[in-house]
Amino acid sequence: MGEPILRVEDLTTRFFTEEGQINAVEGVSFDVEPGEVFGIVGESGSGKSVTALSLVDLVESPGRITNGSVWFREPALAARIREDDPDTAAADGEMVDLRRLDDNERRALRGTEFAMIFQDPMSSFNPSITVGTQIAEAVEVQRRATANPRAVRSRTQGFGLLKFLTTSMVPTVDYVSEESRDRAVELLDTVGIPDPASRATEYPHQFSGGMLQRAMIAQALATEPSVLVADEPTTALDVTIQAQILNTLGDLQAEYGMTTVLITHNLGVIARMCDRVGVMYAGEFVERGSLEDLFERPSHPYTEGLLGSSPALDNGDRRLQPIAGNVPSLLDEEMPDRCYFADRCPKAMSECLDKPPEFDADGSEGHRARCYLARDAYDPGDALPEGYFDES
Amino acid sequence: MISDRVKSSLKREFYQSRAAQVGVVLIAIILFTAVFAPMLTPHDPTTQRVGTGNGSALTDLPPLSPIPGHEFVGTRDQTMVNQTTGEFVNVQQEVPANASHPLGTNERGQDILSRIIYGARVSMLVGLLGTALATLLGVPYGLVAGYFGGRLDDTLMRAADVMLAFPSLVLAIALIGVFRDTSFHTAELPDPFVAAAQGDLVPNILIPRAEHVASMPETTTFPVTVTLVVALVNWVWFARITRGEALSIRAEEYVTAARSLGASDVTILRQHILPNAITPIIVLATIQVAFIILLEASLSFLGFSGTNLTWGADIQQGRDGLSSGKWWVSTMPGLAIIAAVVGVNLLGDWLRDALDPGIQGESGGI
Amino acid sequence: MSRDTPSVETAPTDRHGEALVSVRDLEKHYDTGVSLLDRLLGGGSNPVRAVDGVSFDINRGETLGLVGESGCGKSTVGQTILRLESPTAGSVSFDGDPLAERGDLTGFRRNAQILFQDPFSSLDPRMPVGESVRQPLEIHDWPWDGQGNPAERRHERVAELIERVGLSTTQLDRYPGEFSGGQLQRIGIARALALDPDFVVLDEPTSALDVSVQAQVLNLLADLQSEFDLTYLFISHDLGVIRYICDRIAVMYLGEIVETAPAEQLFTDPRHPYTEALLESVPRVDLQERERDIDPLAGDVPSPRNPPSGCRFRTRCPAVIPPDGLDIEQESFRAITDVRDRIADREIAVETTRDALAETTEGEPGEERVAARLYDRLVDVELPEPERRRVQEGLQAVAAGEWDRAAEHLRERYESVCETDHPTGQVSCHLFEQ
Repeated sequence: MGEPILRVEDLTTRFFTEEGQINAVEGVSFDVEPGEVFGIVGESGSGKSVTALSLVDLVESPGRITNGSVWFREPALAARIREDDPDTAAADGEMVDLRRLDDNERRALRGTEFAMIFQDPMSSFNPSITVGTQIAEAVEVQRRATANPRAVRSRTQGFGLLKFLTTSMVPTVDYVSEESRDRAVELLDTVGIPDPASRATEYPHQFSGGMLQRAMIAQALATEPSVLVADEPTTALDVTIQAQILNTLGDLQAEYGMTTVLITHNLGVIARMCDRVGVMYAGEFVERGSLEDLFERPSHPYTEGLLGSSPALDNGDRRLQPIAGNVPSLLDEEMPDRCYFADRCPKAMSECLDKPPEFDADGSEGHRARCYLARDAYDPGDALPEGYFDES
Repeated sequence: MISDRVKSSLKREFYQSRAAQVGVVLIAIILFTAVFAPMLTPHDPTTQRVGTGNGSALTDLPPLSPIPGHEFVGTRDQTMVNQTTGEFVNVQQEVPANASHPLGTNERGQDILSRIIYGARVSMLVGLLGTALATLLGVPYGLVAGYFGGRLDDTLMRAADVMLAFPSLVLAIALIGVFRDTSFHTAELPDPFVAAAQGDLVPNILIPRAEHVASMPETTTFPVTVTLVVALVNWVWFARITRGEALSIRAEEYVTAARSLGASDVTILRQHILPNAITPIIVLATIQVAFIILLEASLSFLGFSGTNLTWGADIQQGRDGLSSGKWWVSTMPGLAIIAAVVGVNLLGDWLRDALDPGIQGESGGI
Repeated sequence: MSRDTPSVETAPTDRHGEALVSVRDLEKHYDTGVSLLDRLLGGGSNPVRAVDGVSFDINRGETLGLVGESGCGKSTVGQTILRLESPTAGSVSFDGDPLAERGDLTGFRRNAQILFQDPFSSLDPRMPVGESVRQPLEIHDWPWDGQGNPAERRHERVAELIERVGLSTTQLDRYPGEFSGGQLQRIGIARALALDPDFVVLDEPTSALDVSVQAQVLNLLADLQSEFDLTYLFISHDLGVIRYICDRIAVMYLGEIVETAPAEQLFTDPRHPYTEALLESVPRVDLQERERDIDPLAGDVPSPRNPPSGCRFRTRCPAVIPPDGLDIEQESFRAITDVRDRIADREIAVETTRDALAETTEGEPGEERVAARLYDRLVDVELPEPERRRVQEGLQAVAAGEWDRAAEHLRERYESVCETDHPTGQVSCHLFEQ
């Protein structure tokens, strides 16, 4: 294993709502190596999207990252921080901890080194500004940031009456240079939009869903990010369009060597895109490892269950093996102090009433599973009686 | 129709929200005083009294009786002449708050607190009945328009929109012009408490201050025309909101499911559309009560009410006094209107927050 | 569960293979977005052709899958069959009787049910779920044999149904908001089966569910089908699910059925280029998936307001048939066709190009240069010389503003059978007509 570009340690994000505390992400750890595609797969409410938002520091109130670190490799910044304060906890070797950086540094990093694409491209674009201009703005931010790292603030951070007046009265045309516009057209071309020059002058509603998703990818590429976080990028699209977008993402990946964190519920998409995968359940990584580890030798019964319940295209005769029960609640007060999956698990043992830690599993070096079965073989004699969890 | 969940949601919201508590208390007080007015008033709200000026207490004399030995010269000059000495005495009908008249009196020497308490009857009656009438008119209209849609909807809603094109006050005055000469312009509602006290129908012990109650006005004038008119002016809002709800609920899959089961339109409207549209209608209704109270006050301020014993008419009475230092005559009923309107609105906010299905039920996706 | 339908019980097994539902030339057009003003002015009548002439039979006891991408009209087909939408044209027969001739649909409604995609919106949030399941019994005044106390019998029936779909009778008083999506879908199933129907339209019944729960519901639907001898029309965009549950499959594209085949055959030997592309597009849950080369369909689905002439798939088809005598690579032919489509839609920004040229050079650029620039922008493949010239000539006409002449000039040489003739047949593609 090489040196990771992103190292997430014990990341914990909670939402403090009226109904109570929601443990959306709980103690998630993983490494992402440069140039790889790391997949996070899980069902709705498993916390995968919040994990993505936590990576790029976009968790909004009432949510808050309450614990953990997101280490990102940025040698120059790490050296500078150490120069300022030799005892700093924000730098470790070549890595810096995004959570311990001061706000300006973090914003600058987030704006230029990280990019995110979302499930619904329509709501990610301003409907009243042309697509070309919106992408050019992102280019411009990057351009200015490279010229003068502190200047990123002037656009994204400035406020005050004068600022408000100038931005609302004078259209953004001022901000975006001609070069940025040309670059925006180039980017649209890169992501496979035909006739990009004229499409750049159109508004978001004139784009189809697939085209807009491409435009969003172009916008994400504008800052030449090191890490692309893609949250269900193809879920809203039809399969033929999904295939187009996945191919585009794959090509870009190969071309730019961009590191990608791909969040999806679709195991097919995972199979097509990812090198390594983490499986999320109830806010935790229940299993992580290489694609082969997970598909060939899953250690966690949940991973097995997911694979068994996906209808395969190539074999229609197989009866599906569903996972019993329902997706669990993430409300703190309703979360038991045991393996969260035990109540749906076909192999639940009395041991599972103690919360399992992560164990090393067979296979690649990074294959780990939060299940006693990764350590011991299944012993039917130790199984919990049927209906054990029905009372609660 | 009110499920346990709704009840618990109402309760929770009530305990959490100070504003809701204030609203409920305000409205409870106003409704209580309106119902039990004869027991609560310090004086008969219609009796006019005079005093000898200089801020002294008004003598509790029969209406317009002169001070003994004095001859009444005129109401507006507020002077009387002593028939034996020929001496002029300034008399005063409007006095500021004092022990006998907690909120003072108006220029006719009528007790303002008593008038406010009686005024609450008219305001609340018109507000509640007017809203009920508007709901009865608007909701079925909107249901039909929204549920059946198409050309029927176009036609019905265009017609309704015409009503909205007129300023409501102008429309109200025009409608009053139409109804004014009818026999039902106003109705005299007998006061059961007064009747009971006077007729010794129940042992006096059951009616507090029975003698006092017996001397109160026997009837309350209820402005029928105004109630009709405020309903006719405001039903459109109910029609519009119901129509919008019906239109969106009609597209819900559970309605399609009911149709696929063979349910008739009436069944669907009754079982699915109305229950699901009821929340915004209830919220609108509370807000409309406030709006109608204000409209009634405006109409009676302008003299279109048909009765003088209302908050709006009282404000009108004291309008001249505002410039001559007699501020309380207009201000006190004004405060009553504010209390009622604010109370109703707080109540409406409470209902909206508690009944909003977005807050209860499914927790949002993460 | 007992079958207490009073109607004469004909042994259903005997009738397997007979058509229960026959759909012929079904059309449903929507006049949306036409306001009163438009109607008064007499214009703007360009309806959305959601369903444009589909025909198929659903045999007793089988599951017919209807698969297609969003907007292809598959859900509209389901709703029109059930008369939840009235068809613009065409006929639907149920059990041999044309529905249009039935004045009273009560009997049909009793026998044909629907299960919707979104379990959260298909149950009334203000109605306890037990009442929702009881609703069909009340509407149709069940029990029809008139024995016993109706209220009690209904209560028993609801309990029986709710337990059959795997829920507990203690949950009957709860509201939909207290259930998960999978549980709600089970309640929806209980409601659909309350009157013991023959036919159920399943409209994307598992699309809103997570995979693990989806598998539960699919298994339940399969079990109920054999238990109660149900006939399903299963509408879905998910080919994996379709394959799992269906006997025969019809593939829809832009309001039409392009291919109908038994499930096994459709997946092993897809005929229509669209079916092929659709199957190829689905990512497999398989380790070899990364190496699989997918050549995805280009472009987007055209608007159903203005579908392409001839074969509707031709604007995206990777196998458009070139006219006789034109020997050309498919890729090149595709590029030419795309240019022609854009000329037909007048979707070429000539002025922008002219302005851009004028900026870089002196004076007004000539048509030839504008055409050359347009050519560079629009054609990204190497065309053989005669074709290159022909397309350039066409673009020159465009630069001169003569759109019709340009269209005609290119049509003469490149018109394909796919754009002139509408294909028909089990596989509606000209490749399979000869």
